[in-house]
Amino acid sequence: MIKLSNDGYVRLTLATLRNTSLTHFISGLDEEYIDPKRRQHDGLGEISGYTEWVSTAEPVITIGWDWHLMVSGQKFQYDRVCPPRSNLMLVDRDNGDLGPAQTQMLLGDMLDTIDWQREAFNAISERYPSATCKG
Amino acid sequence: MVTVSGTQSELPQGLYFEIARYRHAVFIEQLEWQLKTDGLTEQDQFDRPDAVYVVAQDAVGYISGCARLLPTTRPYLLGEVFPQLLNGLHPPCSPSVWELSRFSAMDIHSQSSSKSGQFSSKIAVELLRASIASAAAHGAKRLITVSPVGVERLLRVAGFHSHRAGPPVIIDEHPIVACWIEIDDVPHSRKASNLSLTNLADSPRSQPRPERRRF
Repeated sequence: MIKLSNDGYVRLTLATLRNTSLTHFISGLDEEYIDPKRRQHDGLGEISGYTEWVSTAEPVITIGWDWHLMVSGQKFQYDRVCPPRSNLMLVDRDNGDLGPAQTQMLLGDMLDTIDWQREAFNAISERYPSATCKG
Repeated sequence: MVTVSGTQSELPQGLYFEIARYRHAVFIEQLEWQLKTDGLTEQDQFDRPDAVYVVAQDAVGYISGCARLLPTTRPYLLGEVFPQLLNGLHPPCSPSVWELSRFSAMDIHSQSSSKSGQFSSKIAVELLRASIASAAAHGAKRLITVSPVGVERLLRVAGFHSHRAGPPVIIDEHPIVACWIEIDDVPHSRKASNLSLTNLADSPRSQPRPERRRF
């Protein structure tokens, strides 16, 4: 069961979260990587930005996190570089809060198992056609 | 850096006008937000006599940051303009919940720093602390704020207990989100003085990562 509480948290178990569909909302670049003239590095050795995802059902689950893209030759590697930001509070089977820290950790572990990089890259490429290189 | 907080009538003479000019420089000139203006200052319908302002000033008195606190028991920005950010919940209306808005920590007079977006990390963190303390002094146990997603990162890096109130919406091509800030373990000092002055001299501390402007 997914419950929106008066404190703003959406409470659910990890199992329910894993069975919840998430869709890409928006991804963006950090400022210094948007204008090619302002890049601090020659070429595109690294880029950083953010990505936002939401659930399709209500109450809406929102999850966002920062990422870092390393480019080495023809190889691209997107990595999540911070704990996710969300409106979630995971609960145990007795509906007891796991707490913000545990929720963040478990949510992060879950995100690292899904293929978010492809959609984020496509969204970034479409949003900033002059700022990104295409592999 | 020095922070000052108070209502318009409590602030030193002339400071509120400087706040309004600073907000024009930041939100309209730099960030190009679509806000009403008289060409010199930025003020809206929530700049009322009961609004509390928290202001950061540099060594020569220039404003380097500002924030506005509003009680949710009267009309406020999120409740009136952005209720859709609350995921279907009713906007809070409680003396223990205050809204933090018009938050900026851009040092527009600094020649050395780049005017990197809305925030200088160091000023932003200290301004946030001062804002939370001011809100707590007025009885707040929670703050609600409408901000770019970059503010969330700042809150986390600086160690504030915060979480989202709902999914972001896109405004002028940028994601905006409502966040709760829990005021944990902040002593509720009585309002011994309506005008709070805090001198925050530089002191060695681990610095959060520079806040990057988000688009």
